[in-house]
Amino acid sequence: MNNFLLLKIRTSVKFITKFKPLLNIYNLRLLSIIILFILGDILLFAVKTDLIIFFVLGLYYYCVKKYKLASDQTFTMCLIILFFMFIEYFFSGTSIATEKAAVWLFVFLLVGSIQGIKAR
Amino acid sequence: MKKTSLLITVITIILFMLPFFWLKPGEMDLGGDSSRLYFYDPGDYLQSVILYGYAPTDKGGETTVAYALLPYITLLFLIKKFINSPTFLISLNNGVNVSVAFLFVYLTVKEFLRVEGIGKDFKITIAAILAGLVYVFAPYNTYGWDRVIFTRNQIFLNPLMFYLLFKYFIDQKKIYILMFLILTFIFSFNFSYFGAPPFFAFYPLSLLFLSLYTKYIVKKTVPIKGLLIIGVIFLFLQSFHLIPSIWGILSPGSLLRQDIVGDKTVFSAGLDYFLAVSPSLKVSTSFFNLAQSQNNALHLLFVIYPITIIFGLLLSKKKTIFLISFFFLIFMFFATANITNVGYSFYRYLFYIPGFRMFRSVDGQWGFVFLFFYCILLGLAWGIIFNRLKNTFVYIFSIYVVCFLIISALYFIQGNTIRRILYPTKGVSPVIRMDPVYEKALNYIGNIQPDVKLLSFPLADGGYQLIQGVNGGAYFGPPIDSYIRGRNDFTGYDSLYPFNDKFINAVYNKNISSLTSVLSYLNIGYVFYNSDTYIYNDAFSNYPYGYVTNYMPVNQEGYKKFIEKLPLDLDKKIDFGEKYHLYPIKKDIIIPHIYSTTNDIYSSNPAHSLFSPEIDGLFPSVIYNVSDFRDSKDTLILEADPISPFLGIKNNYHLHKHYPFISRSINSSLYPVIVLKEQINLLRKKKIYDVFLDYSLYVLSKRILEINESGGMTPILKKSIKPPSVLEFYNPYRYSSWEASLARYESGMNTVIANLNNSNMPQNLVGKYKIIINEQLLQHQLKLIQIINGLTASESDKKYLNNYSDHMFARIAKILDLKDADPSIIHYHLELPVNTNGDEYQVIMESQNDAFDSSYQKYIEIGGNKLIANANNDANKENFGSIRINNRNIDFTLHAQLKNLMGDSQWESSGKADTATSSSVLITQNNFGDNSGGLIKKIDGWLPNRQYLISFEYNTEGNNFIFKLNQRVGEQENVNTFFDKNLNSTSWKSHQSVIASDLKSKDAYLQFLPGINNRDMHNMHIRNLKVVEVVNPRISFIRRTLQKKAATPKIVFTMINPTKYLIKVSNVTSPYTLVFLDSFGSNWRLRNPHKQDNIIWKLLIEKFFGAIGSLVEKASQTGEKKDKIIASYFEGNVLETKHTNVFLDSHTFDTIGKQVVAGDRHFLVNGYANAWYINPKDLDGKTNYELILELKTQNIFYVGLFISLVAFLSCIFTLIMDLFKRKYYNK
Repeated sequence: MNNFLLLKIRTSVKFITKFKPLLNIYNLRLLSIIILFILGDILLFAVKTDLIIFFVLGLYYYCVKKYKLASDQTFTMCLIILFFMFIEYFFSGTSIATEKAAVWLFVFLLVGSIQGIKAR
Repeated sequence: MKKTSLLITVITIILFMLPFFWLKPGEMDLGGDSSRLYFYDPGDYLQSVILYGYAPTDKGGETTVAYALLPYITLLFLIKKFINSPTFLISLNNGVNVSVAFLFVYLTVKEFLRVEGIGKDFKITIAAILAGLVYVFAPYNTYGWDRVIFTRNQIFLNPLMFYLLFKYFIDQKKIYILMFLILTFIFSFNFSYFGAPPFFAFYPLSLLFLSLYTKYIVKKTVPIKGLLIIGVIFLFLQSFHLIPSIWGILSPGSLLRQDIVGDKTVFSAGLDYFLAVSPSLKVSTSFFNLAQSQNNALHLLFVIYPITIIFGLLLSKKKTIFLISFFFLIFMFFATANITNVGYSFYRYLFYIPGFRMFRSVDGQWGFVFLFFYCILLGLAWGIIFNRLKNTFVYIFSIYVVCFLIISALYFIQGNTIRRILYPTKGVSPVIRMDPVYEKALNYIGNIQPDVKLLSFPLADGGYQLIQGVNGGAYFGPPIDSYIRGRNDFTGYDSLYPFNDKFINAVYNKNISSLTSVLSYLNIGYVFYNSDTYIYNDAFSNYPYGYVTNYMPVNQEGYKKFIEKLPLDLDKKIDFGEKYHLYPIKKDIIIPHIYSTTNDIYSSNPAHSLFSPEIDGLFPSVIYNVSDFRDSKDTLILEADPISPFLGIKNNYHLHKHYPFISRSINSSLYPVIVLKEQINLLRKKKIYDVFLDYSLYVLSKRILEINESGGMTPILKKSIKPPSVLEFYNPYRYSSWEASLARYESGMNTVIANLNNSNMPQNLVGKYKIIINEQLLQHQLKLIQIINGLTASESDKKYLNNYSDHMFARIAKILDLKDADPSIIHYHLELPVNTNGDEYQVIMESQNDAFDSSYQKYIEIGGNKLIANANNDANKENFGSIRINNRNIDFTLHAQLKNLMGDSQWESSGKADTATSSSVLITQNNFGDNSGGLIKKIDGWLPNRQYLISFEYNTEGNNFIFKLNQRVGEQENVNTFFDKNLNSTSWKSHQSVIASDLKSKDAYLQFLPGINNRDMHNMHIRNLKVVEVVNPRISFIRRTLQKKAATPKIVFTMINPTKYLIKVSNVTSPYTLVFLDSFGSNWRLRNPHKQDNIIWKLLIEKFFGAIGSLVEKASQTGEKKDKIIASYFEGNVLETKHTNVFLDSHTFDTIGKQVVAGDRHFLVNGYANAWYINPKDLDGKTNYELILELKTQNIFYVGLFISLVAFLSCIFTLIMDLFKRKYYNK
């Protein structure tokens, strides 16, 4: 039984380590700034504006070009946004914040899908 | 059988069987806007609705909607031949929807995974199965199975068609596309004009996806040539409904054309609808694959879907999932229309594309397509993830998904989805078991002559019918006798148009003569009365009987008494049990469906003139619209147009109170931006004054209310200033001061008034807008007084602000310059048709209410003449004698004293009051402090649904008083306050208020109260207090016929089918009008069957199709005698012979290419019907001849149907040949 459990844990760790390249420090700093922008927009501002979306998209495009980011990084961003969207949905239903998170998720999924189509 | 195949088969069978447990034997869900009566009796439904391009309801009329259902309903009809159970048929249909949907989502996902190269493993199969189950049990899919519309079949058609196209693109085998084409024919409605929304939502983007997938991922050639051929065959297959629809779209003035390109439909029924529903569309809900507006704690579990999709995208090494994800996001964009402000605006602008209106219901039209792509993406993501997981994980995950799918879809699995309680009841199910007694009544109605119309009671608001089932459920949908038995039934107020208002008012006023005329002119032969209290009680009072109950009897007892007063042949009444009753209308009042007349009357209001006693001696007659006047000497009935500022004020709109949302106070740094934005919006709305005024008044209300939002921090400059510009915001003390706000308000009001004064609008419209502005000024003034006196400021500041405000409103009122209206002088305008000036007209005024003071002599001033009403007038009309009118356009005035309703009733007061009369001065002295007190006086003779003008003069000696008007409404006698206005003057000042009483108003009271800051004893003086009803009586100018009329030709008509009539005309000596009492339709044609216009048509179509027709005729020969007379009207002048209902025989195409008679003289008459003005020379001067009246679109349908059948049979033949070849080669 213990061996079986150990095996499962090892498999899981193996699965997670596949995403290790995503955690490269040089990406992480810029991506963290972008994530902070997004979270700020979702959690702090009550007004819906496209300006911040286009600004962050521009910044992200710069990162993609500069650091040769792949779709994987974009989808990781999606997972983070999804996490916040779920939390917002859990506590406030389809509030403005949840909707803003959903729009961010849409935007990054779109970017990731285009990156995926272009790269492969 | 392999393990996988066995599992799929078992799941498919379970899903197929599931709906068979939803309904107990004999139960049916048949209701809804379009109903599902085709399950109840597909054969009769075919006959009544599908085979003819004719609407079987109320006034009839042309339609091309139902043709597209022909193959599907025929299929149901054939199935029902073997299984004679509507319950089974409904369950079968639902079973096919659920099981086929699952199967083809599964197959599609499996196919994608196969192409990805990971499709062989069993756990991959599980991913595809789960995707199929998610599709079937998705919340979006599990709701809405009750009252479904025809295009609902897209649930299974989308996956099925996508799979066939997918296989064709990848394998490029003919068999898939042939099956695709055959299915498009069977389910034609989803490919018709009315099925356009799901079609355009799904197919264009799906084909684009498949093309990109084939070319860039599978690396195969896109079969463009094949697709073009398929497109052509598709058009051939759909010819039977597409050609009539295209004909309708190209016909100027047709409803179909208006539906696509009409400005009103694009913006009123399209964009407006979208703007109303779009705020409720949530992107987050779509991500969780939930239905919009449904919330449930369990729905949080759906987060597993987006998580696994993202993991699938992360793990994928191939392009397929990214391409699917890309298209999934496109569909999501359309399905929510709320992705960023730019995206929202983009969707809004799409409404400028003709036809985009069909996507106004965003979720409804894009929902199924989005769900399909969601499931494909999910299936693929799960396939990719499962490929990397151990079997145990896959099984655990699958059990988890299946469990929460089943739990979340229990409502669906248990069949509650088709038993959603009927709105607005609390427990009436839409599932019914048909009452055999009602079926008996239905059969009886089906056996009375087909060319007869019925009126059903209780009358509903729209064209709905309610029938109770024996299981306690109720059918709620269009009339069953129309859809199943093909009898035109008037079931709702709307369906009685253009006589609907006339009808309900006649019921309310117990005017049996008008009711009789409505029954006659609508060609109604029977009244069907459902006396069941279950379907006419409080449960349904709001809907569908909400509006009509203001006029019609409120309960079944009342209905029974009302029906007895109608002109019915009560001796021939037929009772079906205790609930259903059929009453024939008295024979002498029935006007035949088709008749001829030489009594042509022209009227500016045909729908009203039909009831005018002036036409009594001209029976049978036809009333043309005066715009079709032929410069003849026929009778003219011209109604003068009243010119009154009060006419345009409907539903007390002028009293509307704006409640703008104040997002920023005037102290906010963002305030200048808001003011600027409002200025830009005002500029954009400047073109249409109505819109400009509405928005201006909204903004100006904001100017008043926002002062209150600054929390008493608004500076007071104590000097007047000009409205500060946006650039002055750097000086907040000045920019946000009281004076600045009021200057902005004054400037805004002045602009509104200046725009009005500078417009070219007629004076009555200017007057109307001035009344609206004045009412808003009074509201704003009172609000401002309340704000000022509620301030925590010094008394001197308050006094200063009160003074400032009083002066400002006085200045605005001076600019507005609203003159007191004198309702005793009513202005009119009259326009005569060409060449009728110089003729003599009799002037008649209809005065159906007693608003006038009978002691006063009424007179009309017209062209320098004074016409005095004759003394011996009857109760309903007053004769002003005759006058020769020389000008085509003439203005005149009616002078009549109106009764003052402020009679002798005493003032009720908690203070001290002297009794007022209209001439004496009333001095009131009060010291009350609450709203229930003050001086109250009842208005005598107050009636519901009337407009009143209240006028008086007042002097408040500089103090504030509140003037209120209250009414008591409904059985509960709830008190409504129309308005409260502040009165303040130091000298005598006049005041007028106009209001409309509620439909259920009982009585009304005037009330005067001390105003704000007026707690001490003060005097208020009132004089000349009057309350009069505002009336604009109908004044008609009648020119009697100036020539002796020739004898009316004799008519014998036979209905061949609802779209074709044979008319035998005899004794024609002069021009006459042939009237057809059916909704006007431009495609009705009158043809001479004995004169050929186009020989090519004769050779090509008549001979060929005639041969087919004669074959059908021989097969269905009944040997019945067709010329038997079944009814006689107008002393035998119009005879009706036994009707037939022949869809196809050797004579069906006889009229193709035959001469069109009076094609350019086809008119809308009697307010709704068809008429042709026929000259003897149209038929070469013959006195006896035959005419065929037919609907042109029906002939077009026959041609289209032939093309479609040839294409369909060719597809079937090719498919059989292909299958045969495969079998042969396989051997």
